[in-house]
Amino acid sequence: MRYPLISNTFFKHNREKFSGLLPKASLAVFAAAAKMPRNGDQFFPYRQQSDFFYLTGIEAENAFLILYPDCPTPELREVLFIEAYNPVKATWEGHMLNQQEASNISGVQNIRKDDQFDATLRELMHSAQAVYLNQNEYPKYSSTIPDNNSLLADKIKSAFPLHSFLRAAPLLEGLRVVKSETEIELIRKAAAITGKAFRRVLKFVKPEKYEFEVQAEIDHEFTINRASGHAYAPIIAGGINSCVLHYTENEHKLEAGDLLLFDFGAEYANYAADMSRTIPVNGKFSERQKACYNAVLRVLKKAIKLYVPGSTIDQINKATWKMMEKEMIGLGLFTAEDVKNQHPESPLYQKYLMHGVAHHIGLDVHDPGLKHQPLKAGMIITCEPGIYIRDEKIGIRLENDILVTNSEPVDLMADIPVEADEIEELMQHNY
Amino acid sequence: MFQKEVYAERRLKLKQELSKGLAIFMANQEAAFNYPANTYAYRQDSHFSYFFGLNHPGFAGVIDFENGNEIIFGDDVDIDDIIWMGPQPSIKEQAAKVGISETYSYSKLEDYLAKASKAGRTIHYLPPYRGSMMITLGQLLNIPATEVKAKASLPLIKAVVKLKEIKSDIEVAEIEKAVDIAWLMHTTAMKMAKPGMIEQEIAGTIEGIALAHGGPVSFPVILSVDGQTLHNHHHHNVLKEGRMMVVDAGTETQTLYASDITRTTPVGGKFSTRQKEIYEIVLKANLDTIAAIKPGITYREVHFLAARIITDGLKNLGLMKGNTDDAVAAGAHTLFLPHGLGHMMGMDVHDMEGLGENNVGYDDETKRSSQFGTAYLRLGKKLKPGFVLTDEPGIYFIPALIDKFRSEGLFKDFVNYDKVDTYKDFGGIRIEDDILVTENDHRVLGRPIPKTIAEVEATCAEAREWLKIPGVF
Repeated sequence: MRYPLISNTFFKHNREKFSGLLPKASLAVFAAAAKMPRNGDQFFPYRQQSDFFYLTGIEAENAFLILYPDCPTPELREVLFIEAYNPVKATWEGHMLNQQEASNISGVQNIRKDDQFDATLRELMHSAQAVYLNQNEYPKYSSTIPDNNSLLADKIKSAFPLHSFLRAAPLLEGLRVVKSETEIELIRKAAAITGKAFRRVLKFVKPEKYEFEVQAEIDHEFTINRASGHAYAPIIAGGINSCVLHYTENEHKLEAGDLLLFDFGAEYANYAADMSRTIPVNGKFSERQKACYNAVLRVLKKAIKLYVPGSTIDQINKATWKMMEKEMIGLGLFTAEDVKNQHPESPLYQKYLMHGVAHHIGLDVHDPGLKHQPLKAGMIITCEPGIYIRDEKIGIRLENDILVTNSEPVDLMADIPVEADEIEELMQHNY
Repeated sequence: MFQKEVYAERRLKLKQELSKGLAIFMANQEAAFNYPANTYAYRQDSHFSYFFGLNHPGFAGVIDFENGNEIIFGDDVDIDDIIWMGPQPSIKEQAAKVGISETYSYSKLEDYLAKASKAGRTIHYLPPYRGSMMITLGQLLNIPATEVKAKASLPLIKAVVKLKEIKSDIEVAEIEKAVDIAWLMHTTAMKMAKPGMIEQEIAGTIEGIALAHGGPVSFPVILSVDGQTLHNHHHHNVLKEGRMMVVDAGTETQTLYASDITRTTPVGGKFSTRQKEIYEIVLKANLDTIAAIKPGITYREVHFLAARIITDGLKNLGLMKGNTDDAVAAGAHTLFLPHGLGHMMGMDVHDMEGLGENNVGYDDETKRSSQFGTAYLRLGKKLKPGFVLTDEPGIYFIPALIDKFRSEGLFKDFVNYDKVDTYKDFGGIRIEDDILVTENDHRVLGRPIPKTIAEVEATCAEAREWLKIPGVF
């Protein structure tokens, strides 16, 4: 792995917290992510399933974890299964995780081979009443490809149809939504790498460059800083593309006078940063661009103050939309009178800002967390107001990652340039 | 601290009240938390602060009613203190800030008092409320510590009450600052009152707001979804839909003036119909009794007005029955309102309570009732311009009290116990504001804190914001 070993007390503590939530005579089963096929005999770079990483720190396929906190046999209360040694695989793909390493990383004492999983599970199922299975329950998730957890669930349910089966996802969500000190540090690191890449592209961007050339700068900066890569497909959107919320082709040439919208974040030790910035391609905002930019920036700064315990994401969205609505009136997009007469179901601001401005980040860039849940200290949530005026080729989004604390909100990206003047100043030093 | 003239004038007024002997006012000592050097946050004695302003432990102030002398006894810091606490102004410099030029080392105090005592002069002092101060005063005055409290000076108590119960404009301004901070504390609590929050998280946040603005809280935060328990200081409950959160909290300013506000918020931001019905009764009691506050009326009358409003309201809901005046005279309302409508407020949240509640809240004209519930009315006497008091009616469904009254066969003619039993899971509602009695009327102090159902629900629907109240330091 590229990052320094994370202390296994972190993973131990996560397992303890999870186990503490299980009722009597219950066990939970987790599967590592499969290697994802790409094309032909090729695979995508490996990315561990986030919950599996959260509970073990293991970054290898063909691994399983069983947690059974009140198992009558104490040494079977935590068992981690890793792929049995395979000399051919070791020859072609390199070092395979051994038992000692797996134990060091995860802090699990009892490490077994994956081929012992079925027999061990059968032994444990004898005394267990209920089994917690981990499904991907993201509301917006949809895929035709089953993941390893659901394949495992099918298998266990058909082999042991008379046990009761329960959802692990809500329990994990409750734990993962509040970040520990370890996690906050990792996300800070991801944010710092993201900031470095942004400073670098500020010096690089100029008219006639291509969006993918800009991306290559970011890719390079991420990799040399030990990031595993992008936490999500980067958006590098010049001109009219800045108005496409999830533009990821990054293939067009940048033109003088246009804006360039970035939305990218490094992934470090599987933790995501998520940042958006918008800059003028030729290094100088037009008057209109600057007016729109400063409107969004004012709202960003004001909205961050809402990231305190007790607020909900729903409330933050509403309050931020209201702030943007006021700014849009100032920008002449519609009048206060128009707002009074608007249909409440389709407010006018929605034409220029059609997305929410806050989501949790963590192991997943859209980390689990409910929108009506009150914020708590330790949550890390994006703040990303924007404005998209297609007719004027103006798309602006500014996004920082905010740590909720019991006092003032902490902006994890406070030192990444965002003032219009500073952006212009830094762009003067193009190479 | 105020200008030195403020303190000089207060001392002058006290001298006009008493003519014999001298009075000694003791500054509070540091109080050990878990070992001597680890102390509680320092809190000055309110009376010392009123007359001598300085927020410093271990001083004593003397006012001589015969020769007019005003003295502060206290010690300059030594090099050890400077190492730990940094340079401090000398006792002379400090005393000058409150208009006093005569100072002596604290070690001279015992001799000074012994001399006065030998000369047969009366040494007036106020009753101490901390054990350590009883011992200190006992040593200084050469009387057993156990007798110190009883031998406190009634003439001095009466004179101090007479002065301090009337608040000047600058005092009212301080109280309003404290209410403004309480506005932020309470609106914050409303915005945080969501299912899944733990009481402690909200209590900690609003106490933090008080601290961030200078003062500590004026009393430990009362915050509970078990509002039927009047002074709940533990905060471990998880907020659940269907409950209401009672928050009774305030702060004090650097000059030690308090606020004391209560609001009741539905968890999740929407009152149920049943909650609304009771809330409207308490709100009416709060608004109508505030409207009745003016010079000349006794607060006991205002208290019984609240009792009648609550009885009428509960009759409309079928929880009480019979003639309202008879029910109130019998004390049937005390099942739901087992406390008084309010108390004096000032530099102590229950102003001057340490001088004896009856010396502050009652007088020769108005004597304290011994009836259950009404006995807890801390302020009963006739109101005068300059009084600052709380108005805090409530309705509570206390299962143990309901069972007790029912089993004792009390108030059968006025209480529909069968219906009341169905409210045992209700909790309680209290609404409290801080009121100034003006020349002809009254004024609710500070920035208005959401109080109607619509206002509370609208506040709950807003996102919480990181805010600081400007200009309170």
